[in-house]
Amino acid sequence: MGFNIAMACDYFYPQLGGIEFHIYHLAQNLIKLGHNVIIITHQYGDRTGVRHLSNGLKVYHIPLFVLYRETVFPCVFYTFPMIRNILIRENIQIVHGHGSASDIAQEAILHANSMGLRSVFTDHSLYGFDVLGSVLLNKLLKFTLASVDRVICVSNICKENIMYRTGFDPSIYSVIPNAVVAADFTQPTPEEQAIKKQNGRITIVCISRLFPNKGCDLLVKILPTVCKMHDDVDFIMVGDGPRFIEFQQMVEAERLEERITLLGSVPHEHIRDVLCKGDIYLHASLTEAFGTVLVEAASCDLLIVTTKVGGVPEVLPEHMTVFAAKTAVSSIIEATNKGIELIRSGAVDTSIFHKELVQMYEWSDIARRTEKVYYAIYNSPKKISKDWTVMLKRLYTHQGFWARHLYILCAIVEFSLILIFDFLYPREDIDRAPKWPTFKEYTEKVVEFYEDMEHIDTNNNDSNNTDI
Amino acid sequence: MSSEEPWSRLLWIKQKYPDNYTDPDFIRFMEKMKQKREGPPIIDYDFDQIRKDSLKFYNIFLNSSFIYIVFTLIYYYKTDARYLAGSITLITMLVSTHKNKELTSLLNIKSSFIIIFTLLTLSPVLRSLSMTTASDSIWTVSFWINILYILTCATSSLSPSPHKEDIIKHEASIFYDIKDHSNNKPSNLATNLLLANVAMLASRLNTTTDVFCFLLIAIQVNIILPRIINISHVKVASTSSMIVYLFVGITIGYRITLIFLISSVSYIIFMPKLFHYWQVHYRRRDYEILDLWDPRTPVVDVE
Repeated sequence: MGFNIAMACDYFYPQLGGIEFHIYHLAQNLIKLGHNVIIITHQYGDRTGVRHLSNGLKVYHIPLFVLYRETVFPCVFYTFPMIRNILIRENIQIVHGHGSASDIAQEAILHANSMGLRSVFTDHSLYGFDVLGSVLLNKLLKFTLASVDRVICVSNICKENIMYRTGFDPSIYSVIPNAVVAADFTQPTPEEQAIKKQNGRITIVCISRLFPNKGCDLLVKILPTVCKMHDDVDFIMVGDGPRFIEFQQMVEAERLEERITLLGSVPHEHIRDVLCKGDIYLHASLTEAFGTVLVEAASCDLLIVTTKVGGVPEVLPEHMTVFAAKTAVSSIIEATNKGIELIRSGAVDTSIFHKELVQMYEWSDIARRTEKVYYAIYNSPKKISKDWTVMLKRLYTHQGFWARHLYILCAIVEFSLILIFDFLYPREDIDRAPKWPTFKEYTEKVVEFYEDMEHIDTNNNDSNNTDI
Repeated sequence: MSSEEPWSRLLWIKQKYPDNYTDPDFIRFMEKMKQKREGPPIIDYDFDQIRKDSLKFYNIFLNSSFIYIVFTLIYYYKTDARYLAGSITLITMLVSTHKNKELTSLLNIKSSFIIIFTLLTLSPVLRSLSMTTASDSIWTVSFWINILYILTCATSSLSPSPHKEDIIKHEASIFYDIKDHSNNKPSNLATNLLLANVAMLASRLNTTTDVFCFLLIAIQVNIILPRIINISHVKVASTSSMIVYLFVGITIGYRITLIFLISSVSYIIFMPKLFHYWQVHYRRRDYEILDLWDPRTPVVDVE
């Protein structure tokens, strides 16, 4: 018997990105394991209301005001009536929020805890302690996650980061990495390999959103220098962002139009085709929680040259990567040269990367591990109590005087809201949504249907023929 | 769980450890940081230093208000500027000779003459320079420039932490050693702001003589005297306070003086305490901020 799970996050289809794909693939694989999954996100343009994706993955697009970079305006109680309605309607047992910066995720977890449901939180990014935004976010996290059952992180460094930020019992934190869809990032076909070998040049691919924290300042210096050092090296830059213009200027100033191709933003489904044109993938990011793009690139048989930041050293085995010692231009150039040398001399066999990676990062494996976390909530001897007084006590242990009282105030308002909603919109009056059948149920239904059809067919054999 | 295989910090190998296994080293690290947070503060802040710095700020404020006192006397009360300038120059001369027995060197006399002649040349120009501007604008701009002047003066003269003995030696005497330029030199920005302020105010005066006298007084009171005498000394500070409060009391009224007095006394008493409390209870955490998870700084070391 599967769980009824609600994934809550601000970022979802039609927007594309790491978190969005993570939620989608995790949901699909959990459905395959026999669970029932819905997704709660905000509206995207006119995409509002309930939508269905493949395999009965139901998406609720809540009409909310989007404040900044697809994150809704944070208002603790405003979403409560809608989320309560969805959770009751779908008979949800576990609410799974994604992303610290996502407001819907945090609010959904908060409301689920107050309603006595189980909650899981997945963190995808690293946060510092010296920026005002991060400090506020950490305060908010301590409030919303005070009664969370389990926390999942994409890498060990990410786990340590959130452990430090929240400081709960270490046993509730799990590390479950991202995965890659092997079918979407296949090896280059023989034809593609033939094109690659034809001109005898080495192509380096860079994929980056061109934000300052992705190391744009470094890349802008690295590209022309490497071009000067090696006559047979070309670059393909993928991605758009605030620093795109600097790359354009660099290409024009250094007259490297023939060597450096700036592709701008490329749809995710075409990333594989671009990757397959290259031999080396260059990554100059300054911070990275996991770095899915590294796995995707290695899956297309590219040698990885990368800075050693955040979770990057945990992600790939050593024979696939060349690490730059520092986030300095000279250091990355040195690593790139080493990578070029490896490719030229044929010292590294990249054609085995795909097969190895497929075994390392599989969505079905990730889903099974996530499922284990769900089961652990129910089987663990140390269950997190969802009793209102216990939750209030837990909030009161916070060190800060003002924060503590603000938390208590918010929690009391939250609990009174539940009482008010239960009176105004009783649980019994909310329609229960029928569940999408699991595969087993579906086959049974189909068999039943065909039996009926046969029965009907034998009765009116003549009238049905023309319609088919 | 196998005891032979140690846990490794890698995501790509399937390990026998459960997903919620935590590195014991990190748990120890967390414990250590927690103890550090809850323990007594490591850095003991010097309350005396804070008090002195905030008093210095107050003294600079007092000193800069002399510009406005002199200006009001000349502009509003039509006091003869020549007598004012003469008496202040006399004080300056007396003070500087009191300190330096060998009398001011030839070089100092030369530079004094240069300054005086420059002022004489500039005075008529300054007077007619901004006659078209409304007086209200001049007051407003002067107010903001003065605030900037106080801030730059105060921040540039805050000593990071020189040797304690030196400070004590400095504080003990009214007069600075004129050869010692370490502590009493205002920054160039502050001096320029002061001159800009004075030049702007001077444009409101009626005669060239007034302008010249006003400039001379301002330079002596705000630039030369603070370099010779220690304005933070109790005697100097109380004298200037008395002059300022008396002037404000006579010209504006005693009620406002009282408010002014109460606010400055509470500033002198409570501000250092508040600041000290903030440093001890809140600021100390700044030193313990971890940069483990921060984005690395890019180093562009190739041209």
